[in-house]
Amino acid sequence: MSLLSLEQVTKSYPAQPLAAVDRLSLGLEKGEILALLGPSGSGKTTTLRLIAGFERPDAGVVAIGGRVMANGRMSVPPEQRGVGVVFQEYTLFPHLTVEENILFGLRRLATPERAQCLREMLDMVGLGSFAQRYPHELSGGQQQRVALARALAPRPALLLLDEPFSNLDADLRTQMLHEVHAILRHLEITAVFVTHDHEEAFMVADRVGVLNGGRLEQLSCPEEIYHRPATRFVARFVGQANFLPGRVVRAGIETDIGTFPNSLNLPEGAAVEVMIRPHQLELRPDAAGNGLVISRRFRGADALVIVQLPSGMTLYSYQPSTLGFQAREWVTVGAKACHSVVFSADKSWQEGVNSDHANRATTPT
Amino acid sequence: MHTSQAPTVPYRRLRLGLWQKGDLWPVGAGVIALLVATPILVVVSSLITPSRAIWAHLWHTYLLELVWNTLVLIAGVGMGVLLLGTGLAWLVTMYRFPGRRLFEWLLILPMAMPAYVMGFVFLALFDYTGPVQSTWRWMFGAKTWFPDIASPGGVIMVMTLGLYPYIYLLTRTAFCEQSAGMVEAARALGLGERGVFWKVMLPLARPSIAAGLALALMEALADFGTVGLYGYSTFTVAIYRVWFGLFNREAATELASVLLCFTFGLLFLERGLRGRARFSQTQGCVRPVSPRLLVGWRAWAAAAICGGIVTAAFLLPVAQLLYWTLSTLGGPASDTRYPMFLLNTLILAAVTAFVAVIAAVVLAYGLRLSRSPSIGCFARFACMGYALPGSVIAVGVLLPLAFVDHTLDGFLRQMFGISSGLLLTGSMAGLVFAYLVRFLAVSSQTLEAGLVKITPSMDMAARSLGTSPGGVLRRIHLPLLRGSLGCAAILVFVDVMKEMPATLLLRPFGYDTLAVRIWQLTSESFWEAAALPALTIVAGGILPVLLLIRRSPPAVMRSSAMQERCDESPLA
Repeated sequence: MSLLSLEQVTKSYPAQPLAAVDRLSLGLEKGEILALLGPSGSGKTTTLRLIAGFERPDAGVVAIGGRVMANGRMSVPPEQRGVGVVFQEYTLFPHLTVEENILFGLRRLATPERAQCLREMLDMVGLGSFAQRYPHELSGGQQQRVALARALAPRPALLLLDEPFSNLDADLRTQMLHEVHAILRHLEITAVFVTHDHEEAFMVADRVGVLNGGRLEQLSCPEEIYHRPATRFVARFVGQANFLPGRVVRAGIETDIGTFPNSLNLPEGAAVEVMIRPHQLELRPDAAGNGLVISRRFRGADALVIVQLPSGMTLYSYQPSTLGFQAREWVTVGAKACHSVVFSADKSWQEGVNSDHANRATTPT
Repeated sequence: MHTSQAPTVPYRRLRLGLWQKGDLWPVGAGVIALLVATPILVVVSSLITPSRAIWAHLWHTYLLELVWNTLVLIAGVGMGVLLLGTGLAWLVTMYRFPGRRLFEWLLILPMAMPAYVMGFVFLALFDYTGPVQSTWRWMFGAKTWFPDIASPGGVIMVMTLGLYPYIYLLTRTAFCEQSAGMVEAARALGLGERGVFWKVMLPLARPSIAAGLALALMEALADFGTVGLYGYSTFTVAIYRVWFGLFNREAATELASVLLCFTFGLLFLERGLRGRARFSQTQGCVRPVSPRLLVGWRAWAAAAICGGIVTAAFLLPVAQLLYWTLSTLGGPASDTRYPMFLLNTLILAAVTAFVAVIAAVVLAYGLRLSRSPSIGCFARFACMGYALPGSVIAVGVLLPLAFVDHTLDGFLRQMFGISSGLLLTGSMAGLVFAYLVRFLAVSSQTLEAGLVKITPSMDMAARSLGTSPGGVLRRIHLPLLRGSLGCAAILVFVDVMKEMPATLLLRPFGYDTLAVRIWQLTSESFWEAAALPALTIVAGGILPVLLLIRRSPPAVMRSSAMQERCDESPLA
């Protein structure tokens, strides 16, 4: 039995034509960490708020630990759900000390138990000597730790984290990511966390749900999401992607840069698109090659090389920065793909109209 | 009982955001909003259903004169406060001259003085028997002409001196928030200093100027003490006259509704003047305009102008009040019942402040929980009371309360044979309610300003930690809002102390406050005796001014004011 289950959950706001969350269903086992990944406006935070009880669903069922928390007719108030929440901006109570913040949710416990819980929590987040500080006397990372301790102190069945790392500097972010992950694993906490950063999602989560326009596009483990995206939207959102037009022939899928295996057994003659990640492309200097280097941008460890094919199609590729490609140089373009991700060229297949539009920002410029 | 088919309201319509069963905050907010909106609705409805006979009577007697006088007052005071308010704001923000830092806040002080106090002091000073005219005649002979202070010009001058701080304050804030970059860009594009003022800074400050103007003119419309004393017939005077002179409450209501039209007109004017353009400048820290150093006679002229205004509008009247108070202290002219009036005033102000803050908390928290547009709409309407003159509100309060009184009395008589008498209208309850209608906006906007700084996720964090809505209010909001709560209480307290016409019309028989006492004494020219109550009110009035000064942008570090844009206007 799942610890958390959403069934056909729908939520729309007045004055907004599209539903913020549209018939969303998912289940989460005990001890599992789920990342909800999506661009802003994809409904990931709304989903989190529906689980926490800050919003009521228009339809569908939210159940935690087998108990129905909300359906179209009723909704258990957040204070009775036993769900911990860590917010993006931490929202520590500014008039209370670290200790009082952590104890905020423990009013019903007896004093010795509270003291023990406080000690455990402070040790866990390594802030033992900061108990009497006020939130404004702490750094961002410390505030984040207190917020985590506060949410975990009442032993919630489920922990929700809303973009918990987005307010941290890049260095600190990675460090906190590992710390939080270790704590969640150690306590075997079931957690849902929301992010727009796919690397964050991949590093922390057991499973990732990619949301777009309020709908769940794919729910799988991180590797699956990256290497076998279910939709063009997912493919683009979790990293840069080239989409090469191709045609199914007997030998496989024929494209401008070679033939790919037809692993899906698509019917011969079908028009498709093959997704290739930029680092899967191989470029070889060749005066008689099929690609013309348009530009090369040094990025540090690698370089972004943009190549144009005779068909006019441009491809983005990452090449080791030691290879010095020049603009206007001819190259042979090949791919080192072990499997091929294929989408129908017909736009209506597999994905909505919105997805291409919504994700234009991820294309390199 | 009700056999007719009850309309079935869909259950979903009644649901309000985080509102759970048994959660009464939004209901409380709705009830308060509705209660407070009632008197306003009463006056508005009397406008919609005019009584022909009364209108005919008003038309033949003094309606035209009232309208004309009011228009003259609006035009005169409007021009005066615009000139004085923006001019002084410009002077202290754009130039450096001796005493500028001091004048920056001294110029706000006249706000502490109700117009009627300034009015009677000036009347006493400049009257035929007053010291100024006596000296004048002594110097230039008995027949020399001297302008009559009890004239439209006199009323306009007094009100201009008393009300310019509204514009000064808001405009100065607006000027302070304008960036040096904007001015430099304009200069680089070929505008001179004067051009920058007229073409860049003034237009950018327009919304603030409009808000200040609207506030000042509403005060002018609401004023009763000054116009009454100067024999200048406006609507407030007429309402008082037909109420107490003719006991004609219908006519008073009709007059109140016309006054209401003027007020609404001002509100629309303000919205119109604000325009559609966006005036807020780039977010974040701005480098403020650095004032230019004035030298030579210009510097001294600037200081003299500011000094002259502060003296005329504050120092001189206060000095005169002090002189009168000290000279009568313990003497036969002193008012032995002063402690009682003071106590009456303090009780009334404290009770109202308490009620207004509680009501504001319920209103604000209910709104925060429900996010229902209909309650929000009502709440905004309820907060319009601040724009309405006390006389209008008194009229609007009395009719529904009298109805409740009579119904209750009749019911009790019928059922138990006892009479409740005038439970509401004859007691402090009616008066406190009227103050609540007038000043709820003050407390609720002060509180609102504090509440918006508490992010909604703070509530959610507390809720997710097992706290009920009431607990969130008690454990999170109220501790965080302590400052705002105190501020709101002080503002309401002082406003109640000052309020004259509503108190005059609604006070329980024999229950006199300081403001009422000032009216009784000054209308019979007992200036000296009125000085002590007046001085008390001025002393109280300084409190909110100090709060304002603390919150308005300081001279040097102005950029931080961008964050807490000081929107003092209750209309904004």
